[in-house]
Parts: sequence; C-alpha cells; structure tokens
Amino acid sequence: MSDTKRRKDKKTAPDFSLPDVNHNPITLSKVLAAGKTAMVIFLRHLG
Amino acid sequence: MVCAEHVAQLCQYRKELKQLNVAVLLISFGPEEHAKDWLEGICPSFQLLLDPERTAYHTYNLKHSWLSSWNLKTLMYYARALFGGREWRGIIGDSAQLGGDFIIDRDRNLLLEYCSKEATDRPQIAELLRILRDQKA
Repeated sequence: MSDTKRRKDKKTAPDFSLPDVNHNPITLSKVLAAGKTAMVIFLRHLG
Repeated sequence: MVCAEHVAQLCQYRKELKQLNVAVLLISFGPEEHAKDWLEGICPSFQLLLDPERTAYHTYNLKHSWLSSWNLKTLMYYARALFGGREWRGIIGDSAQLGGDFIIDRDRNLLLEYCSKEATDRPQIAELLRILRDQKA
C-alpha cells in the first residue's frame, strides 16, 4: 500500500527554506551542513 | 496511523534521535495560530515549520486527493479511534492533502522517500529508526 522507497541509488533531496513557529528561517541545506541527518515529516492537517 | 500519532510515537525516541544527530523537521501548511499549540501537545522537542503555500509539499511531490484521504480505511480508522476514546481535535486545514516522510543524509541524499498513499499511511517507526541507525553505523 505504501510508497516506501528506501533508496539504493543517489537522489538529491530538494532544498527548502521555511519559517518555524517562532518565525526563525530554517533551511534544509544549513541543517545538513551542521552535520545532521534530517528527518522531514510532512503533516496532513493539524487535527 | 494519522499524523499526530505518528509524530507522538516518534517523539518517544527523541533522546536516541538526538544521539544519532537527527534533526526532525515537521512541516505543516496549517494556520500558525494552531501550530504552536499542536506542537506543544504532541512533541515540543521537534521543530515545526510552516509552509502555508505548500511549496515544499509540491516540491516533494506529495499528493492531494479527497478520495485517498477519505477512503473507507480512513473512516474506519477514525471511527475506531473515536469509539476507543480518542479525543476529536477537529480538522484544521485541508484534509485532502497527504503527507510523507523523508530521511536525508548530510550530503543531501535521500535515504528514504515515503509519500503517503492515503491518510493513515505512514512508515513504521521501526523502519525509520533502522535507517537512521544504519546511517550512523
């Protein structure tokens, strides 16, 4: 059912820059540049 | 499971995620006034980013579908949850938007791309942790 793709090949994740709830801009590439792995979870709605 | 439960389950592993040097970035298109309260109630340790225009949603090819979001499986899920005593928080925002989970390494390579096919479709927490632990090893 799920579109699970644990990737074996290399595909670059699109970069993004969005504000957090405290209005601080967060850029994916900057998070990664700090040596972190990112887990990005897109929510449906805030229910 | 639905978003809130998925994030709440993942939140139970927040200490390990920190040890693994993982930044958990939640992204919502929901209204800002609800976002802080939602995060406080589910997992204040994570970061919640706001994407009201759904720019990132589109970039990551996430589906928008009423049929997929409100199919029989989803309705049954909510019915069971409500009869089981789950509090109904209401729906804030566009309930036809589907979510997804992505794990990205420090070189910006996608280690996992998981686009939900319906509202309750999320990867298993164990699978997410497996990928992150493998990445660290």
